[in-house]
Amino acid sequence: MSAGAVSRRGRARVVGLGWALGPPALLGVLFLGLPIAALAWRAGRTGALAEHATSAFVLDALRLSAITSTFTLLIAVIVGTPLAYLLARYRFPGKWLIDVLIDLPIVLPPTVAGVALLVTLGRRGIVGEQLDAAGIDIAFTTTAVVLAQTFVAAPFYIRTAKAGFESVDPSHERLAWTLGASPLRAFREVTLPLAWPSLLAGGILCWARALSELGATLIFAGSFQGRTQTMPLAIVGAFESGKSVEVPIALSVILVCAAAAMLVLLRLVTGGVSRDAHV
Amino acid sequence: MAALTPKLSVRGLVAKRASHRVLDVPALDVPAGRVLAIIGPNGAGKTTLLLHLALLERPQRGDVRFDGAPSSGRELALRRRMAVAFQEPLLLDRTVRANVEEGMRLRGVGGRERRARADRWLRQFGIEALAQRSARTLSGGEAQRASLARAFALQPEVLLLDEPFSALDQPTRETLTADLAAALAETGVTAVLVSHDRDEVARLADEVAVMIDGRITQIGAPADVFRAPADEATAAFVGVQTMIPATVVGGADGLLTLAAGAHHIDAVSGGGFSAALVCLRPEDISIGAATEAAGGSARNHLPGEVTRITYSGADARVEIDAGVPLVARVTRRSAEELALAPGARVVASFKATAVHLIPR
Repeated sequence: MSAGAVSRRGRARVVGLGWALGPPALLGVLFLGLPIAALAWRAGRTGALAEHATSAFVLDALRLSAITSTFTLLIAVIVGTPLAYLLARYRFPGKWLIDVLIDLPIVLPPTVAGVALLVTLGRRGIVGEQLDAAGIDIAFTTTAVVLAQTFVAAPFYIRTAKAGFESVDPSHERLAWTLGASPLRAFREVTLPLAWPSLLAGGILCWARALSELGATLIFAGSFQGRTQTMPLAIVGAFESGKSVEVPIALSVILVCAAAAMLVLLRLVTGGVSRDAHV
Repeated sequence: MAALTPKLSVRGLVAKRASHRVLDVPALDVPAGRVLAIIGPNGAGKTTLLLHLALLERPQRGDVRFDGAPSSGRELALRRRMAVAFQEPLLLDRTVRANVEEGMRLRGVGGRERRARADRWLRQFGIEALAQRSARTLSGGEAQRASLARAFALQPEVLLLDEPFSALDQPTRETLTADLAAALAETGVTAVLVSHDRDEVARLADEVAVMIDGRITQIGAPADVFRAPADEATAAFVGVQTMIPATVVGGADGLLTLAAGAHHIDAVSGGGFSAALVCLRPEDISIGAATEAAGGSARNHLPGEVTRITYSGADARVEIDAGVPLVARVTRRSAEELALAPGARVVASFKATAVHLIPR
């Protein structure tokens, strides 16, 4: 440890700027913290929160959000894990294109994703037309909600999982092969445990993104209570239909709690040591 | 023994990286029970060859044969009859014992048998006291011992060793080399050792293949290869530092006389060529003061001038211009006694038997 640069507790001493950083930093914290505090304060003051939180309107949205985001996560893991491993381990022509495709939904406005899904799987879409002829209708169903969420949220899992697999030294896999493990077993017993924290973190990010999905869902699936109206859509719906302002507040508080719980979990997961690290 | 089929062999093996041939081995055989060392400079393709032998890389052309039969399509089954120790010990973050048992577990060896074999090899490599320690706490040498114990405990038919000691310090390397030599002798396992250390090869291998630029340039007993390298690149790698072009001017009774610059050099050789490269190891050249009468058993005496002297440890490397460039190695003490310094006049002497000739 170089002398003076790090205090005994291992915290770096900032040299130079010091107090000048205070005011803008405080402003930033206030700006981010105040709305959340206001939400909690309003919810606590009205007292009718519990009543609204258990209304059919809110419960339907809650149930639908829980189901769709879970399915989204499942699809992302099942499809995304092999893809992430492929991208992390193999070189092949056109790989950069796949990388761009995966990043695109992250930077794209979700409404654009909704339009893209509609022209693909909508009744007049290039695939949707065939499905319609076969009697399968996807747009404006719960399935459409899951697809919209997957399109927008799966890239978060794939990105994080890919980084996780890249961080596993291939020589450990190779060693497992020489010890007698089949490639599949080496993946299961060596690669997965080592990449586990990243996979979990990616899963949480993906789930949280799916939970907050609004734009793509609104366009591709619409906002029908009990069918496609997830919690973010219900918040919009409540404002539009002129319901009591307590309803969106109740929904918001639930979402804030869910998101905060996810972030705490993420911290615990990524801060912890991997279960079976190599030396 | 009727088993003349080599345990492991290579036929027409070619590997390319971005259209560059990194490996081109028409044929290589490892007879059962022998230790073959592959030696060569960094980047020569030694490790790539080992990875092919370990069936971890698929050949672009040619094949690796196990007991004479192609390995393609049964890599997993064959890998379970081999064991590999890499340069990095690659241990799991578990106890030393769990690491040594890991391969056996993956190959389905039963618990009792597993423990017995682990005990034996932990003891053989002197780490039985560390059995319950976390692998994370091991020193480099201890970790490599655990890695070797893990490989030997698999009771492989073929053992592949990829520079297992290259990351270790000299004393650790020496004791570990001795332990490995004992284990190899005791088990009689067929082995391939990749190395760039000549001493290690001399101690461990029955045969050595020199690999330069993806090709095997020479193969034979270590003493022969080191004494009589087949070409210039091999000579340079095995420690020849003086190489002088010369022409044959006469010879009789197995003694050849060659002209190099203004000098005549006598060499023990059968001849059969008109020009050759005179090869000398630095340790075979001794240096005397120019005023001394040339004596001793050396037949060749070349007067010259010291151009450069570099010290390393107890040795001194002396470059001499004798009309032809010579490199000698003497002890630091004798360099000091002779007051060797650039410009000093000396006589370089070497025996006719120390000269190795590469026909040109």
